[in-house]
Amino acid sequence: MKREADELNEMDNHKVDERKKQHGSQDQTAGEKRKRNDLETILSRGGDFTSEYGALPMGEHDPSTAASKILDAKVLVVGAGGLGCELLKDLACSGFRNIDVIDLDTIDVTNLNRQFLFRQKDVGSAKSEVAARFINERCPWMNVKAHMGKIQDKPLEWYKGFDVIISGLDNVEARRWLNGTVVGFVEVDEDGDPDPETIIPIIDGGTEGFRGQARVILPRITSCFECSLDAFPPQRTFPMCTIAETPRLPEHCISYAFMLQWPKEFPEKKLDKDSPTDMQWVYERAKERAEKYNIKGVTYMLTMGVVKNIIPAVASTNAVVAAACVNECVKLLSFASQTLNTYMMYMGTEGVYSHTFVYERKEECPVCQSKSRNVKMDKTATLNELIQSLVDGDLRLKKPSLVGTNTLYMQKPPALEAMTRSNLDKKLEELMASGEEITVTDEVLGGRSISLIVEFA
Amino acid sequence: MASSNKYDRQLRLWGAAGQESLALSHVVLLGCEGTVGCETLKNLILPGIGGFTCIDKEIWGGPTSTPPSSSSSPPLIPSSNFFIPPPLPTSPPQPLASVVSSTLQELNPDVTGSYLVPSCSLHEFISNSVPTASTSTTSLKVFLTENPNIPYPPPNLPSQSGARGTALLVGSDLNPESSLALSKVARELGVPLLLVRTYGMIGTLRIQAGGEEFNVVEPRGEGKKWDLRIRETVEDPSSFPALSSYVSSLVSSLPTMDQQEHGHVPYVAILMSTLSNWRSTHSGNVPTTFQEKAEFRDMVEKGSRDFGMEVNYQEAKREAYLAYGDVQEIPEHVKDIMGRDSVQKLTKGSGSFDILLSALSEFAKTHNGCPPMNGSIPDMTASSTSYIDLQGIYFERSKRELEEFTGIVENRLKELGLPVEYIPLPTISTFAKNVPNLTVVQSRSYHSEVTEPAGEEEREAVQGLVWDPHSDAPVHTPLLWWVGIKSAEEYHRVKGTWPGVGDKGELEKIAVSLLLRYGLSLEAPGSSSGGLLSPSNLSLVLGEIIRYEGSENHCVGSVTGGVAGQEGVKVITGIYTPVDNTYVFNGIAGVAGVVKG
Repeated sequence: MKREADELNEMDNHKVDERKKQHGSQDQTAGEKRKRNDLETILSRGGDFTSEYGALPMGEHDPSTAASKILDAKVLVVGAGGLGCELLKDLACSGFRNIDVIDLDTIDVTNLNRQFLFRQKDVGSAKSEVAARFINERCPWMNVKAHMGKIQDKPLEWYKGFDVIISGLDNVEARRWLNGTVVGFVEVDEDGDPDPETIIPIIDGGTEGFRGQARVILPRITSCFECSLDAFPPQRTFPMCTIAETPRLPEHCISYAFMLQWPKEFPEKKLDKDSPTDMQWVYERAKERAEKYNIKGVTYMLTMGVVKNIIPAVASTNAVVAAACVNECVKLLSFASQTLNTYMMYMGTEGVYSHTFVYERKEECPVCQSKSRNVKMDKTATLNELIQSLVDGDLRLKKPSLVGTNTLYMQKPPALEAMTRSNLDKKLEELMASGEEITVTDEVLGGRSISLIVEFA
Repeated sequence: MASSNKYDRQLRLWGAAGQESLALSHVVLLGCEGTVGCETLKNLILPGIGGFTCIDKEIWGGPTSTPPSSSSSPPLIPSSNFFIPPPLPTSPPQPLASVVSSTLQELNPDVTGSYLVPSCSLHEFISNSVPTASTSTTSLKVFLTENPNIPYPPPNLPSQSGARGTALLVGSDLNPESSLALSKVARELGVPLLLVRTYGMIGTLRIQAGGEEFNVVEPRGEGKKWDLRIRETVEDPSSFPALSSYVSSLVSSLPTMDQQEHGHVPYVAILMSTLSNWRSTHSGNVPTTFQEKAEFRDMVEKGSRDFGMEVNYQEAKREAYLAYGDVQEIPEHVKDIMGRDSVQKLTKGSGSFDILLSALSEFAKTHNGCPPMNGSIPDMTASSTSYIDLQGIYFERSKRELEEFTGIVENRLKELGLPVEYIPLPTISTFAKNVPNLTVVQSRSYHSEVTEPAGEEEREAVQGLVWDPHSDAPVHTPLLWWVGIKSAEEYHRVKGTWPGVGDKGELEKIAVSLLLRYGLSLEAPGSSSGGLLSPSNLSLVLGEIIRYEGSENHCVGSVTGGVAGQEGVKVITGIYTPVDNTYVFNGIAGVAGVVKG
């Protein structure tokens, strides 16, 4: 522990002396009150717990430049909802200046119990704009730029302009897109080593009721979101036969009303989950069905919860997870403390605790590994069948486009889709050779493409 | 927007009764400068407490507010606390408590915010040590007891839904000396307290109940215990004739059922029938050994026509422990509290929890040691009619037993000369339905923790943590950082400042004597035990504490304030179990844990 003493001596001596002088006058005695030490104190002092001594070292801490790394950083906040509002506040109070925030949503009254930058009068306005305005007014040192829209609509290049991206998203799709895009930026040399200059860290937070998680993704170095896709199974639904034939819970009756009765009654009209009239209809049908089976407990609130798959949310969990994310951002930019390795779980109900673990990279990860993926297909299978297997299989793609030696199928633009549509029903042997490398792109993977080698069985 | 209730997303967690308890409560923040206290309050104002009061002595703005810094560059962090905007040179001076109160008030118009500036020092205000006549601006005690907006003492009669307002104190980044005084006053007044602190990368939250313990009647979260009475009913069908005869008739028609019907017999019936068969070949016993339990589960599987297809039999096998598990008696930890003096000797001043426990003990005498039946059943694969029938059978019995239990409670109240409204029906019902889950958390005061020797319970709890080090790097174990923060607090109590460069030796001595209080000592070099309390680990931690020197990091304050807000909701609503008793966040590694100190 000799190192510690040396480094403490090396640190800003002036500051130490000043503090020593002020010892004793800490409580409100005569004259000026001493300003409490803040984050700058920690950044400007060396120690035994700086980044280079951690399990995931990011760089060597330099007490004289650490503060400027925060001051000069450009950070993107994805999502201006429950986590986003907290993230912006935490960044403002941690010394950051330049922030962009993007969100496609407008403010709803049910946001107000936790999205604390919004007021009743803001209901209906763009989340990103109201949040940015609030922060810029309350914290005049801040320069927060708002972007209203889908993350997928920004040019990929735009994302390269940030030092760190923090995401406070509520769905798997957007996370996959962002992850794929940022992993796609990393340039890898012949030995497979990534160029550090091209790595943009993602810090990802998520909450559900009293639980939450935060993780650090260093593309191509740590596991990426796609490596852990299996941990986010597709949404659980009730078996259709239970809903249709043997309902026993109020949820079954509600599912029956909106999944089976609505499309039958209104084949032309999609259910608007935000329309009180539509929801009232679903609620009443569910209640009728429940009465028929003598099932209790169908309420309007439960109907909303089932149809919209509402996840309970409270202010406190968002506060915990967002602050953990920004704390990681401070540490990985300044090197003044250690970086989370790599996943933190927060459990708030009983025996409140957070534990961390290394989420290992998946060897077969289609996004952050460079390997091609081999698939075996019958040569008489159609291209459509191949595409369907990519959607239903563990890749969980949505709308894949395929290019081999020839362009096989493109989802867009419409003209190209029309030109390639006829390939869908063709046999694979008519379109490609066995062992041919095919590049697959998909909206869920953002800017990242997958290389697929199709071998005929 | 299809819901107009801004509390919709949280009502799904704690329900209308929890929300009403929040709305009746008042939170008092002592110390407004620290991020962690304001964040705690924010996380209680947003979900809708009734009101709050900010108390601080400091002045914001005015000529003295210009930073005395000699350097020309502006500070990196103009404000660590979002609720304290940095004053402009032109800002007229005003109480900091008023600034914080108004920035917090904005968050929720349903909440009434106010502030108070003590006319003495904050420490004197907390410890009631102004020699002249105490007033509400010189004494926290007077302020709390004489303020009509604060539910103190809690109203004699709770609301019809059983909600009761409570006062909650939050001490934020206080001088450790003042924390001590606040703990003492809070315990004397019977008001629950949260002590929150941020210290560099470390945050702590110390929770203290109003009385000696937290009584959690309706714990939610993991580990709900179902009350299905499978074993009791098989062993003694007359104890639950409705269930017994229903299951018998269902089981007798098993052989003639078609495939659809057979695959929709609820697992309660499958388990009862299997257990009954088992007993007939095992001299009336239930499976007890590991081997027998495995055989029992096989027996369940064999009853199926096609195990791979019959989900109800798969469920029965998975839930087999419900058949051979313990009889649903009142759990030991509840029996323990039923036996204590405050329950045995009720008075007019007894709390409703003790009265309910006393009634429970009488109820159990005539019900084979069992509590009133809960009445709700888990979801299980079943035909609509059999599931609804089962629900009805359990519901009817639970309704009958609740009526009986309510009668006992009302008799108790009459004997004590209390009105029956003293314990409203929803409170009785919630209590009766949750007996197997009742939780009592003994809550030692922070004052006692610091000034008195550790009890056996605390010694064991702390010693146990030594054997549970953080798996990757033992030095990150929250216990060590708890030692670090407590040592710094002790140092501050003695010296009046936080330990800085050159103070490590002193701090080490304090830490070693603190460990000793819990029967622990530093490991000898080369010792193979645990590896956590090595001299080098302690030295590393204390070196880092010195580096921080009391500094505030907003994010750590916000994490800790988030947890404190959540624990505040638990304390106020009484439907979740609060932390026992100190939460420690280690922001270096992102790990957190609880130490019972």
